[in-house]
Amino acid sequence: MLAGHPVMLGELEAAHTAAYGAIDRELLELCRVRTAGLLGADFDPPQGLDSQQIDALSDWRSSTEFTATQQACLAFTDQFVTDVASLDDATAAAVSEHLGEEGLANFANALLVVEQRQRMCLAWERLIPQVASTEVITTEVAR
Amino acid sequence: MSVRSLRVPPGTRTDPDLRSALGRWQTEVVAMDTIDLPTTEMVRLRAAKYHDCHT
Repeated sequence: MLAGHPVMLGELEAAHTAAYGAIDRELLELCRVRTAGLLGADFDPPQGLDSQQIDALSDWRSSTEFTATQQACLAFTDQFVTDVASLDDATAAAVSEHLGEEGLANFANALLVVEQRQRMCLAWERLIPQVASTEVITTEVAR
Repeated sequence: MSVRSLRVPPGTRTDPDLRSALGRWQTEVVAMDTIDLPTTEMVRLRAAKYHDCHT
């Protein structure tokens, strides 16, 4: 679908690259994989993550594998993905406590990019699977 | 619309590369003409209401 819109596709790729440049790569990747799990959008394998963390990610709240910063960002991710309008102040403040106010803003922007990309991939797969599987997802928007 | 507290103070700087890339991407999305303008705006407003977006 986006193959006919190379400029937009390029901008999506640029935004994705910029997201990983603005936030600690491992932290954002952890939240991307968590987002993928919540959405059922298993398009890209985890990159650069500890295998024990990957295994524990689906039940991260009861795991000891994650740092306080990672826990704060995973909690933010869970609310952001499931119901962003209900994201509460305490959850946002916890991220700010670990990343700073600028870091919170950057994290929200970066998470928006990786979440929207995965939702787009998911929509393509469900609505137009022949396009999703052959043209865009794993090739032209690859990180 | 609900009342929300300010999570990030005015004037907080964000990563310029990400902000710029995000803006360019969304500009390109808005510029797509596959869907007519009224439908596009209707979808945008519905998404904004669902996400409680105040812009």
